[in-house]
Parts: sequence; structure tokens; C-alpha cells
Amino acid sequence: MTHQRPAALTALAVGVALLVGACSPGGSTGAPAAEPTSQASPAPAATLPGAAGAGGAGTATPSTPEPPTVPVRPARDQPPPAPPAPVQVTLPALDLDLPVTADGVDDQGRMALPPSARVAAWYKFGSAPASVAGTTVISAHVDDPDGVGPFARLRDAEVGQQVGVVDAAGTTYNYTVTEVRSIPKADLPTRDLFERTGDPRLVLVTCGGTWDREQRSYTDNVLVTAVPST
Amino acid sequence: MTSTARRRVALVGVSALTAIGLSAVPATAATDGNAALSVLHAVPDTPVDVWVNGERTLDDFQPGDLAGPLDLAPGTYTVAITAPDATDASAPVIGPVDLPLEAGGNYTAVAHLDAAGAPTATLFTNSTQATAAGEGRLTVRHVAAAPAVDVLAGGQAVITGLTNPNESVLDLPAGTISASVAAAGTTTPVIGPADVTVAEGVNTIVYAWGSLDAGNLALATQTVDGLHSAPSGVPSGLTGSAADSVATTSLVPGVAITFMASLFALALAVGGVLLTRTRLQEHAAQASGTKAHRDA
Repeated sequence: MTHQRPAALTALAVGVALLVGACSPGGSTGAPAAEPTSQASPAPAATLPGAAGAGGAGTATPSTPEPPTVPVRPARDQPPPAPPAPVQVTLPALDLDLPVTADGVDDQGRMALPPSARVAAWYKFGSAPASVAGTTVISAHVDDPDGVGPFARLRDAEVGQQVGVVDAAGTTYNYTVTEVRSIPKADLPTRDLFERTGDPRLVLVTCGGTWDREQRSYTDNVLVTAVPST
Repeated sequence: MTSTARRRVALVGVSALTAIGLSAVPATAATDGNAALSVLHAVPDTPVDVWVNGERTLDDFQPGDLAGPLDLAPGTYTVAITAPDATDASAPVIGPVDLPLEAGGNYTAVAHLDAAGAPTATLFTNSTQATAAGEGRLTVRHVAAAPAVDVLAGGQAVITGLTNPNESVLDLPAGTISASVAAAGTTTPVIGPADVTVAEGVNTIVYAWGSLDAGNLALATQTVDGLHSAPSGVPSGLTGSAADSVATTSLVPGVAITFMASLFALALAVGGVLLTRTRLQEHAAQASGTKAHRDA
């Protein structure tokens, strides 16, 4: 039965099962072993992770699982290279065309934004358009001392409108607006907004609602969600 | 020879898999209810075999290499480390040691030298607590045959008096630091300086390993990711001018009315207070002329 299992899957599973061993706290019933018929080419038992995927269909020794592979690498882990940063965002239907800078968090742990409402920020610790998953968050102030900014028009965005993002590699990513909504700031679902897994999407964020003079803050955030255009 | 060993191990592995119905793959974090275990070989010069619960799990494991992480059911695993030509785990050079792995835990078992240079093993728990938005975690572990050390970043001691087999953990703004390791109380590096990237939402674990006497001290690095948290909000307004000019029509009159009503209520309240106070003062003045004059 295990012979029908895809080789890669079996190799991985065996590698893990090894550490579990016969004395696993999960309890072994001493089930009869499936006898491997032969072994593939002699390679170090501790092979690189990629090797586990190499045993697909059509090898010289069909129906034989690869030797167990516990993934081993030199202990020189590095964070994965950062994706290219967005440098420009456009929403032609609203006549929006802003440069984008890469920003992190302010001294209160909020998303940091450039002082000018004419420049948008990309949350640099989150996903980017080139990322395989997660949300690209781009935000700009709705206003600044020079007056109302372009992102004030986001509240007029409509489902189906096109958004373009150009990144530092020069690649343009096209998105289609799927949702426009205004959320009281206290209810902003930050975990969901800054999600780094899940399907790729773009969320443009600015402020809206009424201005609270005491808090020097708007009451709401305006969110325009867009998904990659097909 | 090694081929035979591998075959036997494969056989047991399949049997265990069948018996337990376990389906697991290497993961960066433990799945719900499981533990994640990595193994670091930090004994210089000597390849070893690693045996778990009596079965050879890592064959010809090289110094400086990191295995895993593996997604394991919680429980206690017995690990022995032997010479690479051992036929069983009966004559370990390190261990056997019991590794209690808890559900949801993230661990690294390290084969290393103690401060005096004897082989030993230590089970470390890797912190996976959430980091603040914008920050990463730096964990430094002393697993070298060397006395107490300080860790310097940019020439300043950020960790002092770290001894084998202990660790120190710091949360730092994400970025790259130039780190070096010096004997405690000194600033002359015995390792580095080396650039260490502390990525946002990642626990970057740096091991100082090797032997000072043998002149082979080195750094090993392991990362555990997925610790990030979201910013607490998006403060994307500065002056209120967008609200004044483009707030929806239903909101502006509403706010204005509320504001005017508030003003009116405030005026009434203030008037009431003043009236009451005046009356009280008049009353007090009547009751005690001298005191009222002093207060006024």
C-alpha cells in the first residue's frame, strides 16, 4: 500500500516518522513493516530538502521510497530576500498617481506614513506585489498642511476599477477593486489587514469620517481592497 | 554499510508511520498540538550519527549543520549521538539524553562542547512569542569551549557575561547589526565582527560554538519566523481638512447640530453654575459677613 504513495511524500513522511520511532508516546502497535524492495542510489541519509521532491514518477526504481530524508542545511540561516518595494501607485479612474516609499512603524507601533499626503507609504514588513501571498498595504494621509490629498478620493472608488502598482524592479502589477469600505478606527481588523499569508491582494488605506479635534484624528479608515487582475 | 543502515531505518520509519497514522512534513513551526525540533551539530571536526529512540535518524551529520525542523507529536524523545561508524546507540559519545517536547513548543537540540571542552548536548526552547510590529528577536547562545563572553554590537556590549550553555534574548528594531563576541569584560573580538540580520517578526538565533583553545570558534545561525504582529493602526490624517471639505453631507449637518446642541447645553450648565454660586455666596454673606468678605 505504501508503494502507491508518491515517493516525495513518502520520503518526507518517513523522515519525520523516524524521529517518532517505535517508542513514540503515540503508542506503537508493532504493525508489520512494509518491506522496501530495494534502495535508490546511495546518497547521504541526511540530504537537502530539495532531494525529497526529486523522487517523482518515472525513476529507475519504481515503487521504492527514497531513503529517509531529514532536511539538513549549513547553520547559516538568512531571512528570505525582500521582495522589490512598490514605487508608484495609480488609480486612473480617480486620477490618482502617487510615488510610494517603504515605511515601517511609528513610535506608537502604528503604520508609519510620510508627512506629505502626496506621497504614499508601503508597509515594508508586509507583503509586496511580487510576494506569493499576503496583503500589500499602501497608505497615504488624506490631508496635510497643504490641504486635501489625492487619497481623499478613495472614498469614491468603485468595484471594478483598475489599480496599478509599479515596483522597484520595474514590474507593473494590475489589480481590480473588489471592495470599498469605511471602518471606525477602533474596529480596524489590523491582523487581517496586514496578513502575510493568504491570497495576494492590495489594500489602499487612508482616513475618513469626521475629524476629532481633541484626538487630532479622523474617526474612520477608508479601505479599498483590490485583487490581482486576471 | 550506511546503505544497510538506511534501509533498516526506512523500514522502521514506514512501520511507525503506519502504526501511528502520522502524517507530518518538515515545517517552520509546529502544527497545532505538535512540537518543532531542530538539531544543530556544534562539536568541531567530528561527523556523528544521531539516534532517536534507538533509531539512527541523522547519518554522517556534519559539524556546523542544522537539521529540521521536524513536526513531532509531543512527548519525551531519547537522543544519543555516536561516532559515524557505530552500529547501534549503545556506545554514545553524547547522551543518551531525554528531550521532553511539549505541544506547541519549538526546540533546538544542540550537540556541543561544554566550557571545558567535553562533548555534551543541550535542549534549547526557541521563543515564538509575538514580536512587536517593526521588531525582531535576537537570541545568542554560548555553546563553545570558552569562558564567559560579552556580545558587542557596534562596539558596545549588548550582552554581558554569557556562559556555556546559556542564552540571552533581546528584541530589537529590525535591521542588520555588526556583532562580535569577546571575552567577558573585554572588547577584542574572538569571533567576528559579523553582520547579523535581525529580520522583523523573526527569532534569529546565533550560536557561538567551537573551541577557544583550538582556535575554531565560529557562529552558526538559525531563524524561526512567523512571530510578527500587525501595526496597531493607520493614522492617515493630519489636519481634518479632508473632513471639512469632503465629509459626507449626512455627517456634516449632524456634527454641526450636535456641536451647536453641545454649546447650548454647555451655556445652560455654565449659567446654572454661576447662578447657583452667586446665590450661595449671597447666602454665605448673609450668614457670616466677615468670612464672606475675606473670601471675596
